[in-house]
Amino acid sequence: MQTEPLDHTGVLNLAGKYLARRADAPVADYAEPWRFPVVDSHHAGNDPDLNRVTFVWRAGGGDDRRPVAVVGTFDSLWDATPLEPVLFDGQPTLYRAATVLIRKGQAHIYKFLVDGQAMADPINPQRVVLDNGVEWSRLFTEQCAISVSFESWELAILARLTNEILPLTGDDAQRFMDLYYFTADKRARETAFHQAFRLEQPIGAVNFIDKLVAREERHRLGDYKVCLKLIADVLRSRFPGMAPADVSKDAYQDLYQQMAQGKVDGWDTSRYQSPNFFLQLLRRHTYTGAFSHPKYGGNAGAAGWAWLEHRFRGPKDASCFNWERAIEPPIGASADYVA
Amino acid sequence: MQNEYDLVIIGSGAGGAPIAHELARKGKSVLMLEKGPLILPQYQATTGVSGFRRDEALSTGAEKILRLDVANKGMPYYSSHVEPDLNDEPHIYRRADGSDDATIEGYTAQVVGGGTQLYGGVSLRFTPRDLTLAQWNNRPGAALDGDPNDEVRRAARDWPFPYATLEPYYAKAETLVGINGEVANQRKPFTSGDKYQKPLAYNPISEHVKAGMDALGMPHYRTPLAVITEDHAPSGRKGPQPGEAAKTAYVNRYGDPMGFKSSTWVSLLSPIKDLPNFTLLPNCTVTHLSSDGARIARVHFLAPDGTPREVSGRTVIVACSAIESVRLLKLSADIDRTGFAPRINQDGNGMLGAYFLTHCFGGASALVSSPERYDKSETLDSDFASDFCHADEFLAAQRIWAGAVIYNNTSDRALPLALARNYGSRDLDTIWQGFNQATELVSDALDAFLDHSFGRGLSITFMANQVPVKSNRIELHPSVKDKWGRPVAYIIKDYHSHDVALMNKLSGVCRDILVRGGVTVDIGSGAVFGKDELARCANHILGGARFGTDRTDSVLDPDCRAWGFDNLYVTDGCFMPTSGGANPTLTIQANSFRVADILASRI
Ligand SMILES: Cc1cc2nc3c(=O)[nH]c(=O)nc-3n(C[C@H](O)[C@H](O)[C@H](O)COP(=O)(O)OP(=O)(O)OC[C@H]3O[C@@H](n4cnc5c(N)ncnc54)[C@H](O)[C@@H]3O)c2cc1C
Repeated sequence: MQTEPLDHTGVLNLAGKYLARRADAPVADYAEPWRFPVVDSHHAGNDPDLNRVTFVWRAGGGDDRRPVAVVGTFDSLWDATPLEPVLFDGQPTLYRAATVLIRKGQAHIYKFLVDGQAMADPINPQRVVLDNGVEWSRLFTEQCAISVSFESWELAILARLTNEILPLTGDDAQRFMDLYYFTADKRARETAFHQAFRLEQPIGAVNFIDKLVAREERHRLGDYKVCLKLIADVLRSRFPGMAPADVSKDAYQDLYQQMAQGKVDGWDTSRYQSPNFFLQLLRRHTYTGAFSHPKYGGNAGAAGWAWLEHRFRGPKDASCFNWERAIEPPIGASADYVA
Repeated sequence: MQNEYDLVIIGSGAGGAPIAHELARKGKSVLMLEKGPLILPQYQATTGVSGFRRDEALSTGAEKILRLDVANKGMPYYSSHVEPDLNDEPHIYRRADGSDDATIEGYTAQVVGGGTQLYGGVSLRFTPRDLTLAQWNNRPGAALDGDPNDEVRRAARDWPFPYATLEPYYAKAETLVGINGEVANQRKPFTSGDKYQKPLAYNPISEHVKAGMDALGMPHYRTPLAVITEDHAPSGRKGPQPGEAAKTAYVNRYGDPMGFKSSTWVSLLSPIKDLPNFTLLPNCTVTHLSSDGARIARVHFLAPDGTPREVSGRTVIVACSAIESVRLLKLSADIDRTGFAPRINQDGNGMLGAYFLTHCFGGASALVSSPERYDKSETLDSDFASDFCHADEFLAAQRIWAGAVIYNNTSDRALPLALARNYGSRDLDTIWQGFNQATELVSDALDAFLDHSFGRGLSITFMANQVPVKSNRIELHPSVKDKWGRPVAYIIKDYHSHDVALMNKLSGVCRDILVRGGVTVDIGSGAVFGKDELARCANHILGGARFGTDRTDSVLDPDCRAWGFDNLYVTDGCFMPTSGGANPTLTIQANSFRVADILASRI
């Protein structure tokens, strides 16, 4: 695949901090390995729909000169893209890297070919095991709405829970969201800016969590997996014959209250000690998802920010959160800042 | 890279960059080694996009879990993209109960530009009195609260030169760095003239601060901020168009993608970056220095992939930010116990690492009352400051040993994530904690919380001298190591009883400003530390290798040269014998320009 010119310092900026360590340090010791491959903005070429994705390999030692290439579903699978040496002060380092352009909103699997031998990326902790039992590495680009962590029943319960947390289910908020997405959709067509949103998932908070626990807070995926199952069990035993995602708003409110108090009838504490702890986690994630930059998969179309601006006005209806002026187009309207 | 340079400078922040700027322009060969990444502003980035973003998730990142063997093992922490990962390179501090915690406090930033990339840019001069606190506190009739054993008078130190020596260098720093502000009403002589760019219109919420200060008879001025508001010729930077475009609330704790904030990279290093006699190597960690008699012979560092390298400099400047500079010197002493150690430790006088300082700081905070609400996202970091509490008469009347600046913060709680993650949190180590525990704030109650606080927060801060105490110190931790297996810094500090008295008084003044300015909803005030939060540094990391005229009482001579060496200078915040009644960075920069002049005549 066509590669972008390598930004050597840009790779070392991350590798020097997160990957550099003693030769005998185990791979598990990498700090923040989720940062690899590096998914970042691409600006040149005026196509805001592309991300720069940089694959990084770290050789075991200076004498390890095996060629490394990457193959993946972002490209035709038979086409290997070679990684080139990353230079420091004009000299090759232990790192090799290649940067390719991949569309936003996508998820892909890939492997490294090391001396022709296929293997998963040893740095990136995101892995998927295909039906044939083969393990691949996975990446996703910005504003990705494909779920990578949760199954649909889990997403449905999460949508109900995040609904209980965010103040967006009132009539005013609903009217605002409907109108905002209607116009955002029109704008989307004009600017080629698209972001999938599902109205049953308040402003993409669920999608944000789906991405967060796949990458930055991967250590929390297990909490979700166990607790969503526990919640489903609790609701099923309370409302036999109903899908847990379909029970009433009151039922979710009760559940929320009980989790907040740390006492949920029917919660198996041998499987997860503290429902309150999970609730705190979920609440932080939900809030963050609603109001973080949209590239992380929540705050779809910046609806969270727009709602804050709409909802909290000053005297004479003055705007008190003119977020657009600081944020890059096409999400915001900054005259000079790009991201 | 050559083998030898006129000057090897370690650290590219406030202490290192001015020297590189001056001596590279004088034709000396200069190598700068910087541990952190080189993150370019948009106008320099080859990809067209800066690595700094207006993105709340960058300044305070995702949750990470502490894995180290310390008392807070298993606790979450949230660091920025240019702070070290705590599991790799923690700072450890001793808690009041004697147990050890890892902390994110005490790092400025590890990136080319150091702390000046993330700083709020508040760029104040110290006052003439700040540099003569020994004289002042030993005057006849001096009396202090909270100092029953009469310790402060003996602990106070004068700087080895008066304000007049530093004044031209303050002016030089203000000119070259690029600062907007106002001279009138500052209690410091601006003998070399007014070098400020014009301040931008203040955020209307700050009208309350102005009113409160007026009501208390406190003369005020627009806070000097290291953000350019117009074109800046010395660094060749284009200013914001219009100037107001610089106001975004992504200032304090954010690197500036547009380069309007005057980090040492955009202001001092960019202008020399293409000189053939200047080399900057980012992502290189210096591990130790080795010496040959009174000369630093080699600087040992790790290339970005961890490969060990070395280089020599006829003169070596250490400017890693105070904690890390002390650590580097102590690690070098540990490696060479018979050569380097006795020279830097001056035969064991216990001065290296001692008298570590931050500031006495704190203030007051409240919410303006409904229906008032402001767009706090259109702001820089601070609007108004006052030197009222710097006056000798104020110190004498209040029975405090030293003065303080008071200023308001405009950008705090301006953005939605900050509003939540700082709710009830006391420092960088307790981010999100208060919000997490307030599980009742959901749905309508969350709406009510936002309605109550969004666009309404106003806080006032004081920044005062902390009493220098020898037992406040930086050591090497006996067991915790960084990712390279090197002992990490161990912060041991507490506040003197006079500090506590002083903080109570000054936070009272801050509170009065808010009250008289009509801002009283949810008002709270106090010193921003509790017994359990001894790590708190206000990001101001000073002392530990102080300069002075008496070698038994200091680590550095008045020129910032280590007493025991001919060619070793230390120029970050650790040279300070007292911490000043203001944010320290402009003074670190001014002092480095002063040292640069001394070096120019020596090499
Ligand atoms: C969020 C925030 C807000 C702040 N706001 C203000 C403010 O408004 N006003 C103010 O005056 N100050 C402010 N500060 C403090 C200011 O940043 C510091 O006072 C200033 O940067 C200190 O200068 P220094 O030279 O001591 O260290 P730094 O500027 O931090 O420079 C030290 C450099 O050395 C590098 N380094 C460390 N160890 C090594 C090594 N072993 N090898 C190579 N390089 C190394 C570091 O990576 C760093 O780049 C703020 C700081 C922060 C973090």
